Amino acid sequence: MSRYWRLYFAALLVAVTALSTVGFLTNRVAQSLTLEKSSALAADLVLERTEAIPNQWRERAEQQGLRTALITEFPSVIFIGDDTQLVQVKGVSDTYPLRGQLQWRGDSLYTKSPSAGQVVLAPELESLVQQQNISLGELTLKPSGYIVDEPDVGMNFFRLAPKVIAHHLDVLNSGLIGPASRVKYRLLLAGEPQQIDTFRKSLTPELEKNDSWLEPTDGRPELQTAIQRGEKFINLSALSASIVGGVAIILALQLILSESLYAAAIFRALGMSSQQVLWRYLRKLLGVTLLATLSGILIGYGLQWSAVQLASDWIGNSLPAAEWTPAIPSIVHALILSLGLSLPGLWAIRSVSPNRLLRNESLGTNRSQWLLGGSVFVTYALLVAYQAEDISLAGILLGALIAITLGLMTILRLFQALVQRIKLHGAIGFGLGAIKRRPGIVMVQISGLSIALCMLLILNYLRTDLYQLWSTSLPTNTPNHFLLNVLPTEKDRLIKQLQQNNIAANNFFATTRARLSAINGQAITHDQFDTDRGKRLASREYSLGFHNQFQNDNRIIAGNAWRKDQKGFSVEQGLAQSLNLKLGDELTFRAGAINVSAPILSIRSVKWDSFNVNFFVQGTENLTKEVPHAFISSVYVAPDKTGTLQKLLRDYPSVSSINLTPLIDKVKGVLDRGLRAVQGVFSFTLIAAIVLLLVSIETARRQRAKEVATLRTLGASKRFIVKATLTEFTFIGSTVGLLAASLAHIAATLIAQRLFGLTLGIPFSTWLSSVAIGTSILLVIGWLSERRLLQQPPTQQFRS
Amino acid sequence: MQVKHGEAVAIVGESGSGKTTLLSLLAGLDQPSAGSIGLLGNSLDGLNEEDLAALRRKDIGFVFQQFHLVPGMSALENVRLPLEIAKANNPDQTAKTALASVGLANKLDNKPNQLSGGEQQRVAIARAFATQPKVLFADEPTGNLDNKTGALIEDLLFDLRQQHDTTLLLITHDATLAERCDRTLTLVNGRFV
Repeated sequence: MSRYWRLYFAALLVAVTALSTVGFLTNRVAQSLTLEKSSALAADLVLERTEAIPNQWRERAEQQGLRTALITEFPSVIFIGDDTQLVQVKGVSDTYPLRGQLQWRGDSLYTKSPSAGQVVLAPELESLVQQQNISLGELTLKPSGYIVDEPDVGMNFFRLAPKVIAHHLDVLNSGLIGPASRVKYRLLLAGEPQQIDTFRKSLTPELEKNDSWLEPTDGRPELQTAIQRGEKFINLSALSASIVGGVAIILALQLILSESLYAAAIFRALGMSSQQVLWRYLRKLLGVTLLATLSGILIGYGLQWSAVQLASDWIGNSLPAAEWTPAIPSIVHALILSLGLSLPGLWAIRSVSPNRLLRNESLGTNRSQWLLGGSVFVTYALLVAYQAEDISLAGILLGALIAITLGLMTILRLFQALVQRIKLHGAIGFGLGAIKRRPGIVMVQISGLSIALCMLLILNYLRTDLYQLWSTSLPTNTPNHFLLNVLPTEKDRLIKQLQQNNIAANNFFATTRARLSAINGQAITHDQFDTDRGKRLASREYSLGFHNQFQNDNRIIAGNAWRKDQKGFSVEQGLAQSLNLKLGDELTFRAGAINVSAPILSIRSVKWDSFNVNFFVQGTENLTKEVPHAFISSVYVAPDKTGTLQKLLRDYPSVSSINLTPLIDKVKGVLDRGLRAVQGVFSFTLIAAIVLLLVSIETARRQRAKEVATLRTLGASKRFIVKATLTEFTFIGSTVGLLAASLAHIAATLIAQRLFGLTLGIPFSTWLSSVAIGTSILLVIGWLSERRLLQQPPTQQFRS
Repeated sequence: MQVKHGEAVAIVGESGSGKTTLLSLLAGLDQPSAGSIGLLGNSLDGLNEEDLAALRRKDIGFVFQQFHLVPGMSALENVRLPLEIAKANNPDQTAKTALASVGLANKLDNKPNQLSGGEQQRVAIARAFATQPKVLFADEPTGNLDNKTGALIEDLLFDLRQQHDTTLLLITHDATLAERCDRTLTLVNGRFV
């Protein structure tokens, strides 16, 4: 294999290694995120109904290879000595949970569901219960421990009082379940996606109106937002690694083309047909491509394995084993990349004229440069469409690529004209003259390196700044308890007592449970909505909130802020979309026996992961006159004050406090996991960028070596050559830095806004340092490559 | 071997006999592993690369078989380059005169790939004489050219050498070219015979 083929092999090997490592790693992390999603439900799919789950349904699921578990859940009251406490009773079968884990602390830390006779309680009940027995209906049980981690904690927690988890059969035998109890029965299912789907389809026709399927995406919106962000980030990283690796391949292929054209012209002169010449190169290209691809996949598999081992505290050591399926996209990716990008070269080789060789003419053609440009865009459009599932992400990246090229062409043209006009002489003139002497190579170097640096900067901005934004969106005093069911008569006294105990409470929202019964006077039916989500939302019960002000994290998208005298609702944008609601629509909610009607005055976005009290539907305060209501608020309670809150709430028997800490920890965990995976992936983009740098230096090596040898033969001093080189690399480096930093700023801001819904404020100093970094990297690499040339005798350079 | 001021010496020998290596050593482009070389009263022994570069800049010119023009630079820019390196006065005018003296006054802005082989070698000769060197090293200057063009280049080389009173060391396979020199040295396996 000649030097250039070896370079191509290396570039492709690194690109495929990066791609497949990313592929394997993200596959594992994605699997883990899917499990994380599923663990928010404790299953892959849940059937929820108000009637007991027929035994044959469970048996049927098991016959089809699914794992199953049962949950029976309802609100109730427990007796602790003379005290009573409103709780949410949850009976679970032995197999619960199917995804995630239930952890509780007794005499040691347990990871299992409670056995018959055992009961585990929410930690907020600890100070109340202490060592006493609790009475749960007809049962008297001694608490076995307190919950540390409950996978499906986030399900419907507006209705949750502190949790009491016992064995499923104990709960059924407690005598608490009667015709009037508001019991939810759940059948939990876990298995392969196809099995789940088959079972779901087979059972759906037998379901009744109020039965509903709960999917992983039906978990808490806070957790969903976190998971979606993690996934988007990983996709972005994978894409950037492939783009940077791809640019290295383009440059290596250009080198091969320049070498192969001469040989091809000789073969043609010796009588080979154009097909024979083409086949000769195609065969070699395919051979080397496949060899590099397969080697890259194997190395990638090994690397992701050791990366996970080395960084277990980073990405978590409980990742599922990697599947081999990510190898397929890597192979397709490598083939599209290699063939797509070498097509203009192969065309040039096929159509090379031996006559041009004899006349010692340049063998490259202008047409092939345009073909290369065209094929690069088509290839990347194909790849981005193939790899990025997110259209807006793909659009932003492709837009950045086109902007880089167009910006570059304009800058180079302007600079060429300037160099011609100013007529700089000496070392500086010679250095800047490189733009004139080899415009194609300079263009390819600048665009390639700009793309690489741009990708690195985008990742870097997002990596650090987004994390900071996330962190600030979850500040240390993020509300960690909800106070529910505060009676209107108790509200002012409670606020005062909280203040006296230095517990900061947010706004108190009036709230009531209600069903949406009509839109614009027309009663709604389950079937009138197209989407599953729409159908589910139409039949569920809502917690309506009432307050004239919105939480700080809400943003009005349509309509205006309320005037005091207005009556109306504000609807969350996702809900409005699913139910086809628009401004001015009259909504009627049924709360118990009372109907409340008012128009939609605004549609707003809600930042669910703020952990503020938020509502899908919020009404104006004057609507509370028409419905019975209680109040809800969120408070931050320092860990050492949890007992204080519990003691304080003993005076308010109706009030329940819900500890949000487990949910906050879960959201933070998901964000951290996604972010750490991205940091791992970031290093591959970095390696790809280094290879790209080396290949890009190699593209001009032959010509540069000859130039240096000529200059030295003509008596140029070392100082002259160094000055000329530094001038050239300073120009290339600063152009790369300027372009990459500017585009990365625009792209990162767009990505943060469009994909993550966050506003990224990158200071000017960061932009400036990005330019400086770009220039410095090029200067160092340029100097290192030139120093080698200066150490060799000129005759050796001429001969090589 | 010894070469006197103003003398023209041809070095001949078969391929691989060491002709180009000898020329590189004499011009200070390569370092000898043994022996010593003196040039224009200076011993090359112990001179560092910067001193050698200064010597070449001031007193030495080169003409190569492959021309070694800088691609992408016009004929004028190529000839002006050694003048700029030597910080000569009025490099533009000197370069134009040098190109006119080889008959290329009308091709100042042509780049190497827009010139024929003979024209490229004429640019190389103009570049070599532009700084008025005391010694000119020529490595197969007509090796890449047809007979007619080769003969023209030979004439040009010897005319300019005459005009500038330049010492010439020339490597060639061409017996006719060697005959035009004052004497011929033959190399066999790295030794004169």
